[in-house]
Amino acid sequence: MVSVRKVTYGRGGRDILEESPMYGEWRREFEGRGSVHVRIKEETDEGTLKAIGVTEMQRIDRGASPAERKRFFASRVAEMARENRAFRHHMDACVHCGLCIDKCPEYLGTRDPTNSPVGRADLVRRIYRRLNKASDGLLGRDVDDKDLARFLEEVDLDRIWTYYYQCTECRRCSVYCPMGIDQGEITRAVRQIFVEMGMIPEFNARTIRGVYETGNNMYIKKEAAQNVLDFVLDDMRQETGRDFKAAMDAERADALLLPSSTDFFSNIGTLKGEIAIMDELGLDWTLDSRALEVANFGLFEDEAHLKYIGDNYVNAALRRGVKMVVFGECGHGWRAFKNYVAPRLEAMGVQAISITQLTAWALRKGRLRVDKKVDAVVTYHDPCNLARAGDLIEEPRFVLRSVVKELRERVHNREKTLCCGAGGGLLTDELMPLRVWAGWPSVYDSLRTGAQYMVAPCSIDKAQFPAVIQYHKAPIKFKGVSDFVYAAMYGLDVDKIA
Amino acid sequence: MNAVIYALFIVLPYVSLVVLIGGSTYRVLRWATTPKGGGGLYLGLYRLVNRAGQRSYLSAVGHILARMLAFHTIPKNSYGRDYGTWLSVFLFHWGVFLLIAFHLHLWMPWLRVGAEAMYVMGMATGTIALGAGLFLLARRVGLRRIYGLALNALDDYVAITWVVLIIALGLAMRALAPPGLFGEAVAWATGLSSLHPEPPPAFPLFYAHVLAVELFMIYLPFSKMAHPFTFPVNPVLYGKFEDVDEVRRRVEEELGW
Ligand code: SF4
Ligand code: SF4
Repeated sequence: MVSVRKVTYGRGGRDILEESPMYGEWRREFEGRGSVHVRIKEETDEGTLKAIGVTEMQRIDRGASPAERKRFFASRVAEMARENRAFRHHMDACVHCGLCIDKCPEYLGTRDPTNSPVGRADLVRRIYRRLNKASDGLLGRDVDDKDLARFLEEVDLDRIWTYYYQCTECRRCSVYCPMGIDQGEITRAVRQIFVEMGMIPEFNARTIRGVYETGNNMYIKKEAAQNVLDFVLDDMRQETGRDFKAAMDAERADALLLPSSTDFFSNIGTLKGEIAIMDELGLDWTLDSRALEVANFGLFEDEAHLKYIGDNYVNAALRRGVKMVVFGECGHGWRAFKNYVAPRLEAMGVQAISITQLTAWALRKGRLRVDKKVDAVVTYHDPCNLARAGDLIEEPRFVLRSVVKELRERVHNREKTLCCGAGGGLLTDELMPLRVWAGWPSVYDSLRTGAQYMVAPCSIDKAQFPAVIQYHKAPIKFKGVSDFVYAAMYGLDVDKIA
Repeated sequence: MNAVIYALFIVLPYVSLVVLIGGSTYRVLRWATTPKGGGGLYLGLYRLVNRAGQRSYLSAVGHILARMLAFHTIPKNSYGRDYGTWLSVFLFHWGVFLLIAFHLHLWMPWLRVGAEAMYVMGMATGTIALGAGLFLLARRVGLRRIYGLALNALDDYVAITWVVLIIALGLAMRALAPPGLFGEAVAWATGLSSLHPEPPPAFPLFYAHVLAVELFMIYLPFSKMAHPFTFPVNPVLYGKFEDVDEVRRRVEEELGW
């Protein structure tokens, strides 16, 4: 399974994989065997499964025989097609043109064609077709039991599990597929079925459990968050000589800021930026200690968890009686927020926007003043879920152009953006070989611009890219958008604020 | 007219047409009536649209039409542009569209087109479509070599081969047609549509071409050939986002800016 067709910039160039100093490692990892050996762990302990309600949603025992479990899976595929329009469409509409294959960041990183949109889809489509007899049940009867049993013998659930947890739900395929088939949506449907079988990756289950127990992914309790906040405010005072206000759990406020929980650990620069923006705009705003999060790992797993986490944001807004919710820097979380939470908030008369939108609009209106543009050349990595699911493309660019000396566009920008390689719930250590290579195309695309910084308003990017950059020894740094806003507003060194 | 001719060229056309229209309608209705998902959401999401800036259904319709008629996603840049595939897809589909349109002439004999012009236009379009079709068939055979994945099912070969065959038969028929063929074909076609059947022209290539088309019409709704009908029922394409300028105005009002 070597690179069948070279993936290059321009004719005669080297393959993008060969451009990495780690190419030898790549060959050892993937050449000749694809990526089927990189399997996400699903050995989640009972306690966690119980805590996040998987045991209640579960519809077949984990101890059931493999044949029974396969039968359940197949019957749910058939049901899914009856009750989910997108899934049915995507199962039926593929013309097998193969044009999606070399567009998938996972394929680009591993060159395993099964680890591609149509490769992945066909693992399930084969079952779907068999159940539907090609004629959609119009001619021919449904398959009988014996037929089904014989067919299911060839189905390898573990293989499906593995490849369905190598999809980042980035939706790049849906842009390039002539039929508009979104494998990310098929992936969501199939993972829903796995959750109903009690199968959920350990890392994601634990992350979701954090939301159940503390309202955020990182298990940050109120006191700890308050400590970090005090520390950060103090730091900001020293850096800028100015006082900032940031309330936690204010009884009432006009606006609620939802930060990423990782902003309290590793992305302090982003947190400072968010606080400064809210404060400079003179908003009466607060944080909510039960909603110090923007992520929604339910998006990667199943409908019930997506809604549970989404409802947590709605409840926080109601608790604080706010008129506006400002959503911090996050890609996938914005997809869930914009397409589940925001319509519900808007129905209640609460405005739901992202910090990037707020910043862009404020800059345009002259409500935020920029002391000194940061003297740096940056390039913008469009987070998949902003560009292809969140309608948020030009605002971050406007912000960056206002706060840095130069913004250089990558070749694969906007809806063509390359995935970071760790979205879709793949941000776990056991997938590291996959992550560093699926993220490489985006890093390399950025390197080619000659920029010093790669920038994106996304928490998964902030966890993923530094690892990719370090692995490939790439001479580029990674930062969030608000970090630059903060640095520019007070004329600070962007490298020293975090 | 003997019984076989009657069955194949007088009865079967009606059957094919009914199956084509009925079957396609059935498929589209099945897609359209499939619920979005539990509670009217797509697995928890209100919308799935993948195109930023799509703020109205009209823009969605435009985008879908552009995909169907210009195939512009194929040469979209991702490490170079696949112009070769795009060109063959474009020529093949437009060749077929045009050939279908030309056939309407059978029902509009009052439309005066010089015999020579008709011949040249038909043969040229057909030849281009045939060439593009053969290229696509070759590409399909080579897919495994290109992408390392054996993704062809039987349907994938049958569909393209069948269309190529229809075009080839049509071209051969046209090239070897006796002088009166068009007139006889018009009589047969208008006879069918006016429910006063006339015998088809007695020409073996005509029989073969028409039979291939009739069977194809029956096959179409139940195969991948139904793909053009799937565009309007794909929630990834036909959805829309709310108007962000509207949101901005509301927020600015809220903030008193
Ligand atoms: S959603 Fe992204 S990772 Fe998944 S199959 Fe499509 S392109 Fe590949
Ligand atoms: S590009 Fe679309 S239609 Fe073509 S093989 Fe991929 S999913 Fe199927």
